[in-house]
Amino acid sequence: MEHIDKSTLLLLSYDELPQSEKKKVEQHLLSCEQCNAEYEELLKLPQMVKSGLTVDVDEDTLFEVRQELLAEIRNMKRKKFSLQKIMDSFSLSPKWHVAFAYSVAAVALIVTVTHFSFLKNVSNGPGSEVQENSGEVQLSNLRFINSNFENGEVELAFDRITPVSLKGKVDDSQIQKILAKSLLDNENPGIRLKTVSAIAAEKNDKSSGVFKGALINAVKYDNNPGVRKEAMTALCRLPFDDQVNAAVVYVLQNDKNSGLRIMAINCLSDKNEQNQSANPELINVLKKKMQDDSNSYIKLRAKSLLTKLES
Amino acid sequence: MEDFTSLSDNDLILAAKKGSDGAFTALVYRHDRTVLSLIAHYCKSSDDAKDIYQEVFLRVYKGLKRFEFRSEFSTWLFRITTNVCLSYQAKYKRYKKVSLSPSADDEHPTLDIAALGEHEPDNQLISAEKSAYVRNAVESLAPKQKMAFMLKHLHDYKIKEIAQIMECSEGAIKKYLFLATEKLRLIIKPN
Repeated sequence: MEHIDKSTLLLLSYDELPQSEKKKVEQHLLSCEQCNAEYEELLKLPQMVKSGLTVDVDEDTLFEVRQELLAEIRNMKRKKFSLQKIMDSFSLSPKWHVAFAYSVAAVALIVTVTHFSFLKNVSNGPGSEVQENSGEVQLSNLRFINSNFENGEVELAFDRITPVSLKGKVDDSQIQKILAKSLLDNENPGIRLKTVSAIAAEKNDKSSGVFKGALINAVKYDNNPGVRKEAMTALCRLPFDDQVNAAVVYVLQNDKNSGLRIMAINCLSDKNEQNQSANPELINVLKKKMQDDSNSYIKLRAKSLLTKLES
Repeated sequence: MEDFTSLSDNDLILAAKKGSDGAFTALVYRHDRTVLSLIAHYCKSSDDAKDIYQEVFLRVYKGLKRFEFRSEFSTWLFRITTNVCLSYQAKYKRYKKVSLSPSADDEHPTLDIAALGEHEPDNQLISAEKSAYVRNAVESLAPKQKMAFMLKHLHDYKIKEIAQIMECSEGAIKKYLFLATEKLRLIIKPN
């Protein structure tokens, strides 16, 4: 009797044989003890190796790598295109010097035209006062879209950075947008901290929708604990809807900083005393915290909140 | 802030392509645990694992605009993870783990897994011992055999999907799986 080769038996164990062949092999296994024993042995292997393959991901490491990734992406976004690189590339051959001279002239022309035609047209918001600091325009991320240097023509794209000062109330929509963006993007933690403080000082409920997303993002992902702390304070003052609740629960569950976890559980305790309907996710997190948290105060608070919610 | 948890991978990708940081973050958070557990098999230190994690997701971030939905996002993500892990392994081959057996450099001792635990009182310890032994055995596989084996046995991918992830033919994946199985059977004695 011709035996089934091992690779076919392996594919059968994976259930990856074509139907027709599968039937034929299964038929053979019924009558061949040797192949059947081989097949049985193959079936045992996955069960044995599974426990050794499974790696429990450390939550602290996961939190850390996520924060580092988000910080790196923020940095990337801010990374500016180096004009020096363009100059270096132009220095490769003598004929490029002429081309470069044309390019510089074109850039200067475009800057002058855009400065006078666009800069003056920035519209002010109803409650804010915009003031541009003229003469401090900076260009970055310069790209050559089309360049026909022999005809002396170039088509460029670039980012124009103009210093602007803006004065107004925090409930002004333009200021709100800038603050929210600053909280998400600004590299300087001091600025992000000031931004959260400005947001936290705003007492107009209508503003909460604009700021909520930025605050949730900051409380969960900002790599500076001071910013996360301020964001948590501001967030707990907002109407406590499902999104805010989920963000605070996330902090309690994942933040490495025990001070922030304490703030989160205090916030949850205050809010859930007002609102008696606790969600099952919160119950689960509290049960886990009651047993596993490294901070004994959090364990105690989790236990007492859980008792309140379940009573 | 939009609730991204209910969105599919494809919806998140579309939103991320339009510049939504929240969508990209949600996409990362949905898959990064699995990626990190796969990376853990290729690293000797948590610092290396963090570097690989960042490399993988920065490649995803930079490449997302070019993602054209020709495959599942997870397949594409695992392809990137596979490439980064295999490059890492090739680069740091010289740090390869030493043999389990003090008496033999190349040959692994055979462990009768079924016999372990039968007469021992501390089953938890035995279980940990088994896991460590199996992990070492799997780590002794050639990088591509190991990757194919883990994608099959840990993540339950079909051979066709593994071929897409590893950018190999299905025949090559069958060969890797067969060789990996044969080697593991020699090291880990089932009975």
